[in-house]
Amino acid sequence: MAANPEMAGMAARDTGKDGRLAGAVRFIRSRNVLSALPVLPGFLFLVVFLVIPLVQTVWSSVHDPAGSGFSFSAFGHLFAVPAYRGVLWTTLSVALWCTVLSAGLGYPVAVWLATLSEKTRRRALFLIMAPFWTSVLVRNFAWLILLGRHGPVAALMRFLNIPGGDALLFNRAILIIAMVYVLLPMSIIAMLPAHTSISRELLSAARTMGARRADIFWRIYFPLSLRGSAAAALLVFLTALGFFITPTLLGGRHDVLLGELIILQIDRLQNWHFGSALAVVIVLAGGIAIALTDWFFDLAGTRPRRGSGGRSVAVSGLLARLSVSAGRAVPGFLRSGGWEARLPGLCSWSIIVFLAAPLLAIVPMAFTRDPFLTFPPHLGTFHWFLQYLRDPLWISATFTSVRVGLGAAALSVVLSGLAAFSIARADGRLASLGILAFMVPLAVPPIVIALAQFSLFARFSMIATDSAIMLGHTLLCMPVVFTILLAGFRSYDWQLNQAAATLGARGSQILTRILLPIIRPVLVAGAVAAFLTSFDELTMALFLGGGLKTTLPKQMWDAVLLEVSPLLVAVSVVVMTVVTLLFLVMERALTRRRAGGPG
Amino acid sequence: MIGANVSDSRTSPGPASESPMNDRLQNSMTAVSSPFKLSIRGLYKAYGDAVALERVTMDVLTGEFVTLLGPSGSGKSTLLQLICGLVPPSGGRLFIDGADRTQASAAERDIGVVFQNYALFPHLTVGENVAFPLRIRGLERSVILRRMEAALGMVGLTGYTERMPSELSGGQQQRVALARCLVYQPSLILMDESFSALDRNRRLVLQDEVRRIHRETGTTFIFVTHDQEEAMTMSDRICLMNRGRVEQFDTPRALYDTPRTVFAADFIGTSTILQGVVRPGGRLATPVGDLPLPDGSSVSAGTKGALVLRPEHLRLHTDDETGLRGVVEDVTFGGAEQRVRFRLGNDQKIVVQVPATLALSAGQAATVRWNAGDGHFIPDQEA
Ligand SMILES: Nc1ncnc2c1ncn2[C@@H]1O[C@H](COP(=O)(O)OP(=O)(O)O)[C@@H](O)[C@H]1O
Ligand SMILES: [Mg+2]
Repeated sequence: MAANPEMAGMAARDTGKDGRLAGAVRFIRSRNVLSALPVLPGFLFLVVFLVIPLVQTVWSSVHDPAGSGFSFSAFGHLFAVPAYRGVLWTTLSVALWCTVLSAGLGYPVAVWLATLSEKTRRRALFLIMAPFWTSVLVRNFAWLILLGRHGPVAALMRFLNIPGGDALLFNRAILIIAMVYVLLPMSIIAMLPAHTSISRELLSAARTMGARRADIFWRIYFPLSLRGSAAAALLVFLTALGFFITPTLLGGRHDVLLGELIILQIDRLQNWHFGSALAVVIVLAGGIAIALTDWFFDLAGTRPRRGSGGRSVAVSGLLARLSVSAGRAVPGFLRSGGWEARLPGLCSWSIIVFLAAPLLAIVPMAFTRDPFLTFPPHLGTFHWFLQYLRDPLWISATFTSVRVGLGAAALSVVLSGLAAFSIARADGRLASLGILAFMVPLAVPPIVIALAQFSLFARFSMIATDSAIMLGHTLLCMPVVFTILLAGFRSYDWQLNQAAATLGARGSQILTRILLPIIRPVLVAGAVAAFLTSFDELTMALFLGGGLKTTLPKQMWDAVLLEVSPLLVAVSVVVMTVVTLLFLVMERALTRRRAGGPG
Repeated sequence: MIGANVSDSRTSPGPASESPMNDRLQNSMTAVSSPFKLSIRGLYKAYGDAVALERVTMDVLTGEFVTLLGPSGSGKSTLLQLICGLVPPSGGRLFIDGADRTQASAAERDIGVVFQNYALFPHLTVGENVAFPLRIRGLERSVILRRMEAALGMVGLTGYTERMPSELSGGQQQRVALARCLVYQPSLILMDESFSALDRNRRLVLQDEVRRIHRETGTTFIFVTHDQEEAMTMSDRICLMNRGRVEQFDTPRALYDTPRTVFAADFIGTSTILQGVVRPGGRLATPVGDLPLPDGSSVSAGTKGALVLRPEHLRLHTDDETGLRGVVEDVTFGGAEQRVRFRLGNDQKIVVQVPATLALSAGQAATVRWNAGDGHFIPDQEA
């Protein structure tokens, strides 16, 4: 934080020792440093709970625990053993497939959403956000239940005499489908700003100049949306790299991913040396992906560009020419119907149905009277809900999750809130760096973070405590909360504070009477988003929880590994209900703010 | 009703304006035979229940420079968007060069539009922006290059080809937008509040430049502004709009000298408007007294209406008792002359222009007079 151009300038001017001291005092007195102070707590948190653990992980990956000193033996082992090489290769190819599919399917949805009016868009987004906030575990169960041997799809296939209904699960295809199912909403949401920020006037301008639909799309829209869409795809890739829930539940015997391998090394074999090396490999792969994406798409948008239009624009010019000639080949009656214009809408509705259907389909099964899941179920009992409520294990897990979630929400709102508060008013390189710092947890898969934090918490005998999980979750929540709050503070009119001051308000009065009431809905939304993030989180609980006292996702995880029972479906329905209600609270808070009043 | 008002043969110049245009005849007309670049017949636009633009009928001559003038929200942009085909009309028809183009898409109309916010493609260089319309027409590379450079030269931006739009000032971006329009030589160019974001000096320079380009290319221009001064200096004719209706479509001089509505009199230039009823003797009974009407205005007694007085037609006398008596309320210095706000009895304010040499002070009593012929009478229109 001390790297400040102003400071460098002062040091250059005041050459004498006294002068330098005076300069330093002046610098500290200047608002610059004081206004950066609120960033510090969050920044320290990132250093202690992310940077140091990661460094520690790298350290232990290159230090043989048996011998002493440097050794790359773990990495050598990884590349030498064919099975491990296979895992590495599978992880990369599955992650790539997921990225291509999520970006490819998400893109038309983002195109379609961007054409809607603000109000309609919020409604349509709801249909995409609701699955996004629904627990990842539940979203995976849904496939397990629907495509299982006794599920509805198998029953339908039996009825239609189509073979293979009993072998729908546990293969590469369903693994990728289920992962895309989980990642797609994230892809759309991350992509959307890049699409809505394209001025519609540009497209109108192109139309008046005589541009056809294909020209407008490929020469104007596509290049302008490319960078943001690429960033969204990158986020999907980074997330997919660390997946272990879906592959464990739905993947085939040969579809082992790095994430699962880490769990195996740590949970079963206690091999920290090799586990750390695997984590480092994931981080390295992510780093390479970031660098490649940045090289091709110029993510930061800082590289000066002259002339021919850069790598991506040249490609899209070619696509424009191709698709214009392809468009001519399309029969006239189709062209006049404007079918290309309706394509994004059609795609979007199919995808919205694809996102909602599996979740809605499992709800009735929670009311089955059968002792296990079959299709068609015999409905009509609350038995499974009652069993959930009566079971102390489930209830204690639920309460633990709520406690941890509230703690993580409070802590992350304070840390990210303070940081967003001061970064929102700054601009320039320092502010961009600050934003980047708070986004870093997004770039590291939770499984790597969890592994890295384990030794930190172990040193303080905090393993198997709620506090450890809560601190781990706080780290994961920080980027989410930071993004929401930064947008909130950025849209706040800081002149209001000055106006209040001229009207005679003191600092504390400005805070409590002006700033907080106006910003409160954003704080609520941030807190709810953090709670939802924590409430759904499994990895941290898996690594840092241990023992009997577990969170709800951990309890569900243990249960599903035993059997997919109607009880589990009932719990899923409970989780879905809670999440949907909280999501509605968050949406309401954000829309009310947009409507203009503190409410 | 408004349509009739505007297409009235008195205000529409050109030979064909004598007879109302026949739509079916129009369809069969060839481009050469029509003196009109653009003919609009009863075009209107409603968004749900809200009428953004009431029925408009107007003709624009080939090569003319027409300005749509009016306060914000008066429907100027809506009319412009209907003309270029970005928004479908709720009714009415539109002819370009005599051919019915109501159903044609924006791309087919061969109209150039300069948008208020320039709408330069941010990912393309200045040169690529200007070349864009030619590139999508599939012209040869060398032709594109030549015409692109010629267009940039015309707006005074030779040598800016490799710059990015974000590196240019607002005025330069405006020039690029204009060049991008000129490059494909549309015979009609529309500009929507193009200069409103620029500071005054730059605006004046660009106004001159657009006029020069208009002269040199002979292109028909339809220019939108809310700035009456800009409209007056640039246009052959001004289409004055208010609340989604056309108030008057006339030359700047006619609009100033003979406004046809109180709104027009009020919006264009400074004026004092005195409402009243015409007396049998041919004088107007107003709250400040009976006033003479301009010569030759043979209005029948009982007609309600407004007398419009321009500041430069009024004379202030401190030593003479004839005329309307009142008190100087406030004097604004304006270089060679000064403007005086003068309060008559009954609290009616009247603005008078007097030479800067005349020493006046607030509170001073005086009288105001004018030649009856300099006044302008506007009879009320039946609602
Ligand atoms: N897309 C639209 N939907 C609804 N109302 C509109 C739309 N566009 C314009 N209007 C309304 O039409 C009226 C005229 O608008 P506009 O043509 O933009 O005026 P101007 O350009 O003269 O400021 C305004 O009252 C505006 O609110
Ligand atoms: Mg407008």
